[in-house]
Amino acid sequence: MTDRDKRLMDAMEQSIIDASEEDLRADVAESGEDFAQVASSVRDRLARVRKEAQQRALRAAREGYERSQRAERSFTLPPTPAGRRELFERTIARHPELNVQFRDFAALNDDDIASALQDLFELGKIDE
Amino acid sequence: MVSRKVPAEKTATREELDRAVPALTDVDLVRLERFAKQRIARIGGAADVRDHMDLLGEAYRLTYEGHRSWNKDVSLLVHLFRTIRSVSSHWAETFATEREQGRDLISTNRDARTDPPPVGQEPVAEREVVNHELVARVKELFADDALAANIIGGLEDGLDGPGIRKLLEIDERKYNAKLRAIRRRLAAEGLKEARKGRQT
Repeated sequence: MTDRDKRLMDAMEQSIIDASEEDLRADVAESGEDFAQVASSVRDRLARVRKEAQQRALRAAREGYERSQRAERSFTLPPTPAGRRELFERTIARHPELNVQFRDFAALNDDDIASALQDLFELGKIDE
Repeated sequence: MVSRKVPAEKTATREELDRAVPALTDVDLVRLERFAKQRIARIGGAADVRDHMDLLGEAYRLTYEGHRSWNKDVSLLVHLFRTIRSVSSHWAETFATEREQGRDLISTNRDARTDPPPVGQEPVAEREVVNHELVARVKELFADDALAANIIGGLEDGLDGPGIRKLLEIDERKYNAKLRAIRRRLAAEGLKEARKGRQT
């Protein structure tokens, strides 16, 4: 981009900011578009963005709530290392999508497994 | 809304935003649409198949979700102009960085990109990817139109509207009509490039 290009593009942008209503209407008409239709499409886009943002926020809040509910529920680890490993392996087998994350689980020690079980419980992956 | 730069008392709340948007007039909305089109024209292929409506939507999303605070000292319209400008610059900056780093030009994870920095915190030496070829092509399209060529030349030289009109001895109506034609051509060519994506 040269300075000349930049000056030209800056002037084009500024001309829109400074344009009179008459000039804007002429611009739209000369493009073969309908002024009210262009405005309406922008209004619709803004409404859609707002709705999507609200849905995202709602989803996040719901997920947060469900997670906190799960965390509040008591989860009792199996009392023995063998029991914990057995529950862990059963859970991984039931949720193949976790295989990637825990593919090296043979190398995990009991503390790792206990911690992973707690995480899996909070994620709702452990069916009691 | 969370703000890193705008003092809390000057930052519009979501409720204020919800009241301000319906108050935008048709003229405001068309002005925003035209402005976003020019910004897409400016960055061309760096828009990566996103168009002016995506740009406008992104500017509003960032505001609505509080990533970009609207300082009530300015109108919502001005805030959106600034945010549109900043978001498109960020897209161009991302494009330039990825190209420099030799990353795969076809991004498969565009949603993972970071939000642009707040208004006023953009890199000082912004590397805008204004497409020189696009400007050259548009100039060529007007090569046989002496008035258009002179107006383009005047703007490139840094002259303003009144200065150009005086120099060319034309009235405002004639000047504005030609300016609109140039602007439309730039926007149309830019959108074409944006839709092609990063291959341009």
